[in-house]
Amino acid sequence: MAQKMIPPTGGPADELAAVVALRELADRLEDAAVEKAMRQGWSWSQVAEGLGVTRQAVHKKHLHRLIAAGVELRRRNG
Amino acid sequence: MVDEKMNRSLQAVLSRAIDEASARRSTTVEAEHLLLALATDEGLIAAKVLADAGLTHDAIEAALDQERAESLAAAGIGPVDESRLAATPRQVRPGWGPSVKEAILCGKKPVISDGRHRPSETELLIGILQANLGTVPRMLAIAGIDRGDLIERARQA
Repeated sequence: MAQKMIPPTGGPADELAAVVALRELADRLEDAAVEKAMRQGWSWSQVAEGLGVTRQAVHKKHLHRLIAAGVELRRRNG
Repeated sequence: MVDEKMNRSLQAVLSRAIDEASARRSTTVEAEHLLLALATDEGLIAAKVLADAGLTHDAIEAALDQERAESLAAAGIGPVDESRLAATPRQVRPGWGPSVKEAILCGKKPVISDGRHRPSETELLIGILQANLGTVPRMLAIAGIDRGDLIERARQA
């Protein structure tokens, strides 16, 4: 075939694929951990502090799915 | 992304690929989701080529899981209990990832080289298999599938 084939396994390919897999795992862990915390009554600010990001960032990323999940969200001080 | 002239069957594949990406909790639609979408429609030549190589929808999913597990193992991470990852899915529709664009581009190349007319879904399959970008080449290698052979089978189908 015309295209140059790069080895998809071994050496750097394994290390780069590990980065991709870790990013995906981190995203899934974040979704699970944020939902668990909010179900336990944590505020947006507390979750944001735990993740080391702004409250707005957590809110933007997770609000819709948590509403869909029926999680009771704290409105004040949060 | 979706060409206005694109036929309905291919549009259906792209639409299913979005569902596959969502089901696998991916924030982007990637070439592996196109592959899953192609494998779902048994009426397609592309699905038959895949099935003949042992790549049914379930087999592709298993191969993708295996690829992820081996990639995490390369970073020293063992299997994570699914119960720790249980979460309500994100509500946003996954966007088109770079591997989809690459697969579509690569799918046009056989037409240029041999001028043969193929169903759009077969072109797409050839493109997915030819593209080096993304998880598919690695997934196939780990599953023990000869990618070059599969490309040739798709071209001849």
